[in-house]
Amino acid sequence: MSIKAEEISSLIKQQLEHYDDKLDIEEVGVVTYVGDGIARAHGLNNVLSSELLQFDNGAYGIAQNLESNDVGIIILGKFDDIREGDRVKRTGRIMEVPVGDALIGRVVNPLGQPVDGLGEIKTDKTRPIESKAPGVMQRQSVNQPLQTGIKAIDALVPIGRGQRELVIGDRKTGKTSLAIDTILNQKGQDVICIYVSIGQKESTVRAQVETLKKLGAMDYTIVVEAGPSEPAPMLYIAPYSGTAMGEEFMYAGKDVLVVFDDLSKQAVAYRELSLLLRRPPGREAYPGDVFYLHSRLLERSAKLSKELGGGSLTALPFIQTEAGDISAYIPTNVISITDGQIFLQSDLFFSGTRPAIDAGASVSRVGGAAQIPAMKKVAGTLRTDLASYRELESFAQFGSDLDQATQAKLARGRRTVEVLKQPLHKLVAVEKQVVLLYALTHGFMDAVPVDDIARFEQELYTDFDANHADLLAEIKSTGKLPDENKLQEALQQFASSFSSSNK
Amino acid sequence: MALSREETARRYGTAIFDFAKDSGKTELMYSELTELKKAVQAEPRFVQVLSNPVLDVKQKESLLTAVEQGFSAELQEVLNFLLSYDRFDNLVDIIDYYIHLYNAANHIGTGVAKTALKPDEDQLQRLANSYAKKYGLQALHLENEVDPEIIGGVVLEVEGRVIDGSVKHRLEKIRAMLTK
Repeated sequence: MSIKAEEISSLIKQQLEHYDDKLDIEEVGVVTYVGDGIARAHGLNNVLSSELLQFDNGAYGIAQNLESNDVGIIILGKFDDIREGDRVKRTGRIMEVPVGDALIGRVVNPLGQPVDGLGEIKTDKTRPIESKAPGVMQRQSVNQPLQTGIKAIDALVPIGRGQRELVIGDRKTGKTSLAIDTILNQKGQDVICIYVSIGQKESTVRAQVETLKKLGAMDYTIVVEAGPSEPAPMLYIAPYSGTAMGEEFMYAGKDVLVVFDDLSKQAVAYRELSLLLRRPPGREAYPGDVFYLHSRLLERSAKLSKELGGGSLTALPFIQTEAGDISAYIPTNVISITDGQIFLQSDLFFSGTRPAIDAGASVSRVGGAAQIPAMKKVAGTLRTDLASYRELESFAQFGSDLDQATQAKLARGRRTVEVLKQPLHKLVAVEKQVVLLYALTHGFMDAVPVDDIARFEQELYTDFDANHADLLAEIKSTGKLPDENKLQEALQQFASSFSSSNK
Repeated sequence: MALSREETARRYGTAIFDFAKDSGKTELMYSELTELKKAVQAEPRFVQVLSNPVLDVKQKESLLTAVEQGFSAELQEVLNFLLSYDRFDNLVDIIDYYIHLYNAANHIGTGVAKTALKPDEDQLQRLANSYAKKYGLQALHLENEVDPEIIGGVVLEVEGRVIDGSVKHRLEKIRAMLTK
């Protein structure tokens, strides 16, 4: 034993130096009902809406319904040892989560407590989970691209920093993979990513976190996790917590990407607690304010004005549809709130077109302004070409004789679809995307068999890396197309040297 | 939908209070109702009988008339009225609400002082007076509750406000501070 009793007591004395012996005056109510994640309390006459409350067992709650006789409370945390007759006291604060650099690389729950077993999060900064969105004068229009590294998105539905782009599709159509790829592509782009997982299987989340770790993306990522076994209030507040963590960086002038995976589960959790709080159900049994639930959340993503540091918060909300029905209540709500949507189709997914982005139904309302000029030039007609190909394709299935022009169009279309396919985690830098799409639209691939397109693409990248790095560097630095003669010459050289596999 | 217990108590309590105010007898009504409450709590069968749907209205009326002889005319009127509207099962709640309104109108508070040992009347009165002075009340009626669990000090609970000066609470605070 090296430590003595005197030392211990002096340590304790030191610790207790700041103990204040003031009387605690508290306003309390009495719990009259406890349900799944919610409670009602009698008393608490002066409580404010959304105020944080504390129960006898230490769990916190948020005052939701202020009624004539009692208060409806959602419980954040353990509620199985809260009993009727327990006391609940006001705290005079509203719900806040820890924010700051210390959270980066961590997996936390919606209260900001670590769940990754890496110890305490050392930050003294907090932010309220609900805060007002930036106003008109605090914003500027979206003008900077957020490169996802996914060819189909960067070319067809570009996303700008500060935009809200909905990702919508049935289950198992690659929504989460899209998010993970987008996060992976932010490496070295000075973008902080926040992945908010709401009601996703814990095993899936674990796998995603491992992927992010393995590929070095946890260095700039925060994962906020509310699993399906958590009570509904945790799922309900998760996206607000994630946004609060992002806002801290946005107001510090940084760029942030927040992925909400997915908001339909959050809406379901909110429906559950609303019904338990006895709010009147509306369409599909969702409460009347379910639109406001999502609009106040997504309104907080913004591109801030120069005076405020020019930071941005880009939101990628996910919505899961049932059998491709985008006219259900929640999908239509979120479509109308966001600045465009990426529609993933299960038919395309199972026929092998991955990512399964439906070019016809996907739009980006503001992203075009954020595309680099070179990309705008090469991808300008891609969307209409693809749409007319889809139309022709169904027509050509009747097998009638087709003229040369139609056949050429079909051949180009097949190659376009092939070019936009992309394996998981194989991200492509924007300058390479430009070169590839340039080669496609200028007919350098017309002679290549469809089955060889993927190999053509890979060899094209290697060739350009080795022999024409200057062209790539020029696109990257200026954002414009380089001297077209040089580019065409380089592509010509490569195309003629490319040997197709079935000669 | 049936009215909730609180809602019934509020409506009838407010009506009785307004009625007493109009006839200028709030104080008399207050003392009579408190007595009635004590009596009813001592003999719960009284309320059970009067709210029993099986019994004949005539029988109930005659029982009530026999009991209410000693009360003022106003209270008799109120009780007959409650019987005709079949609200006797809420009698205690209604009286409580009346007391609540009467206290609010006269700035009187009621509360509980929890102590480890039984204090004498004077100590309790001094505690009540200092609380009443601090929160702008005319008077505070304190009841004492002995709870050895709190070790020492006083826990004062007045209408949803808790002032915890117990030794137990202080120890808990120290514990929370040390483990943080």
